[in-house]
Amino acid sequence: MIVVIGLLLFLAALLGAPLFVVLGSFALLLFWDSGTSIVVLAEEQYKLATNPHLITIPLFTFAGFVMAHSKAGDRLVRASRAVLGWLPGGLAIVVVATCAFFTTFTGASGVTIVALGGLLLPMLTTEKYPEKFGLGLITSSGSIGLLFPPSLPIILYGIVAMVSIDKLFIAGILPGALMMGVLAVYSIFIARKNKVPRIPFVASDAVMTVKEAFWELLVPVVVLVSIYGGFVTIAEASAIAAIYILFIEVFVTKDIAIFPKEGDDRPDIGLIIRESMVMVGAILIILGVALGLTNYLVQEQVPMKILAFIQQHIDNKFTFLLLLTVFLLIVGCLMDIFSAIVVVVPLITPIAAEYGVDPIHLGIIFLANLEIGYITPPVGLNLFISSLAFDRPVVELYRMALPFLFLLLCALLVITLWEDLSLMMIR
Amino acid sequence: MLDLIRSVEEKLVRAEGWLLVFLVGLMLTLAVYNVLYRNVLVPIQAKLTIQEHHTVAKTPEPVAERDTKTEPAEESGGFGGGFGAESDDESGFGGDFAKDEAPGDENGGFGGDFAQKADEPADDQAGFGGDFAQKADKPADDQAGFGGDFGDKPSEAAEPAPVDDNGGFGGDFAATEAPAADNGGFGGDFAQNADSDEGFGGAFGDTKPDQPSPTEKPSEPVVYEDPPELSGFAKFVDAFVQAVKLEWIDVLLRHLVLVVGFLGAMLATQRRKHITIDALSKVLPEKFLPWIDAVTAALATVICAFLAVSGADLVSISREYPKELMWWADEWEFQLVFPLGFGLLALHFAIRVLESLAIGFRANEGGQS
Repeated sequence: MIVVIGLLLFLAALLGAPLFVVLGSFALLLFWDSGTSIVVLAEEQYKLATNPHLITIPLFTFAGFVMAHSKAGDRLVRASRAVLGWLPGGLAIVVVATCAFFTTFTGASGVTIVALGGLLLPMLTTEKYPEKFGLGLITSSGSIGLLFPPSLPIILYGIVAMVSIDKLFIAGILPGALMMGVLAVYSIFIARKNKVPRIPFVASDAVMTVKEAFWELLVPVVVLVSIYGGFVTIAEASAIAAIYILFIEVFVTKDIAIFPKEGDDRPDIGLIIRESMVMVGAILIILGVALGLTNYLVQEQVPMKILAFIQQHIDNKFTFLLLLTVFLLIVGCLMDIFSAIVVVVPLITPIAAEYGVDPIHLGIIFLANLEIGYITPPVGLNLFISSLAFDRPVVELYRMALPFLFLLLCALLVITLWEDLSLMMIR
Repeated sequence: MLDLIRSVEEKLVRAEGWLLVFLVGLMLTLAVYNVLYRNVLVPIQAKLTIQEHHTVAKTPEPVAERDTKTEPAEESGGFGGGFGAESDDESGFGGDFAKDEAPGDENGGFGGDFAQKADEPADDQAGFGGDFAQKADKPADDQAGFGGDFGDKPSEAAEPAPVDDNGGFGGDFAATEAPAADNGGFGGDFAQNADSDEGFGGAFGDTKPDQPSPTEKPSEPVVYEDPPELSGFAKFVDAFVQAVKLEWIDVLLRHLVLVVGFLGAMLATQRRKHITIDALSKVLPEKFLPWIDAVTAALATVICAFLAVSGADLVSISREYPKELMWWADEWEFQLVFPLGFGLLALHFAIRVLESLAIGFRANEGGQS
């Protein structure tokens, strides 16, 4: 009976029932089956209200959406182009850098591809980069900044797995840089091969464009210095980031209007709040409902049962990590990153701990895997977003993203197997 | 019929949208206020009071970890930490701030207590308000508040205030603990100077012998000397900073996130922006889509209704055992967000069922004709 309903629910999930509904049904079903009162679900969800980091989710998301709605993207592209464009493969590196920057703040919701893709792709093709390369690059860069602070998936991971978010932030920097580096080197290679002309460095341009984008370039500095300078907590830093970005975009660059007005087509604060909170609501409701399910899993010691099962077949950390990678890639291409964190993390953390995987390192592995899951065929989310944004059949994008997928997988292996890359900075 | 439902939903969504904008605005304002308070006002206050008294201030022992009930500074509620740093250099002022807001709220009705004395069972004090300087009228504790100001005394031992620990507000700057073992995690005791009996030494000295655990406090009030007076300006700043310390902001903020999350989820329902796995609908023929949509939305309606019931249960339990969250709200009042939130979500999903069905029938008719 339970199994049949479970299968039906799984089918409902595949047919597009909201994930929180599917998780909620499972939780209700299991609690009902074990004779527990369903009030546990609300109780667990209410525990969210005791989490001091929870507030960073709406505040950082809001900050990211404000940036995405302003013309910050254009300014950042211009500035990084003036500064980095003279390099071989310069423009492609610019694409990687600005996409990473943007994704870090918007949390890989596909916003990056939509917001920057339309601007970056024509730039790439006019500079004689093959279009295939351009599309693949933008598609895969759309999730590349996930490992940098203060990205939302890191925060969510920290909350769910109960590990230090500060440490996760720092641990993600080198692995994130490695992934960017791999894409940058490949870009240089392609640029050389296609004899893309290099543009000379013009100091006055660089100064001017950097000046234009100065306030936005300062955002990561503000966030990082305030957290790691020992001034404020992450929660306070999120408030600072939100108010800072809002102030810049409303009063300095004037890209955002305070109130909607006739004949003023700038986005207004209300609109941005509603849009960003739609995303926050979608994440938080999954998180809340999943807490109930997690409670059941822990109570029934499900992770320990899985552990007992795989311990029969796997006896060392290396094999475990490989298996984990394969598993997470599948999860990453099936599930959106936020739901994957909420659903999968409570299951794998106790198991990984048994195999001696450092919890911080596990977080980085997890996020790196899901980052790549975004461009893994057949259902990687970025592939679909690009297909919509650039009006290309999704199958064509599979092919275009393939070389990037391969490169990032290599980087992923390095990240997974070389623990110190993540941990050396926090030791 | 459908048009009517749609127009109702539209109005509902608009209302939710505006409420959302308002709450996020409030959240942002309060969060920024907190940051400013902790990082600007308090250091100023600390500086002033310490300058005034550096001659009498002994260097007290760091108090940071004394409090076992609360989490370490970093983790303590929301904006907590910020302060830890302060404690090192400000002779003994500090650590306290960081610990003043454990999620569990030992501090019961803090903040508010400014005004709220009246409801405290401990009736030893004449409502607060003006009595910043309400000194020595406590029979219970002989101590003259602090510098003549502020010290309004916490509740008496005999009165186990239901609002947990230290019966009230940080009157206890200077604070003459109630002898009972109540003053748990609160921050009132700014700087428990280990043994500085000049009161208020470097800071708001809650001068009492430092004990490893708050539960082992002496059962009789300690006799204090009168603490030295602060000069007018410092006193003013001090009083001001204390007066604008709204301890409940952190608690409120965390609950606001829940409310905002629900409102966002409602908008997500209407905009069909919920996170889904949704692998099959991309490959199925288009004419099935409205029907599939109707089925999934119906499932969602039912589940949300169940979750609303679960929320309602939680509320009724909490009403039986009320717990004060902030001086102006009990826990259950905020837990109402679960039944209401899931209830409204169920409503939105129910409307989606009707819409999808309507689209499905229309498509069918269109196909036939």
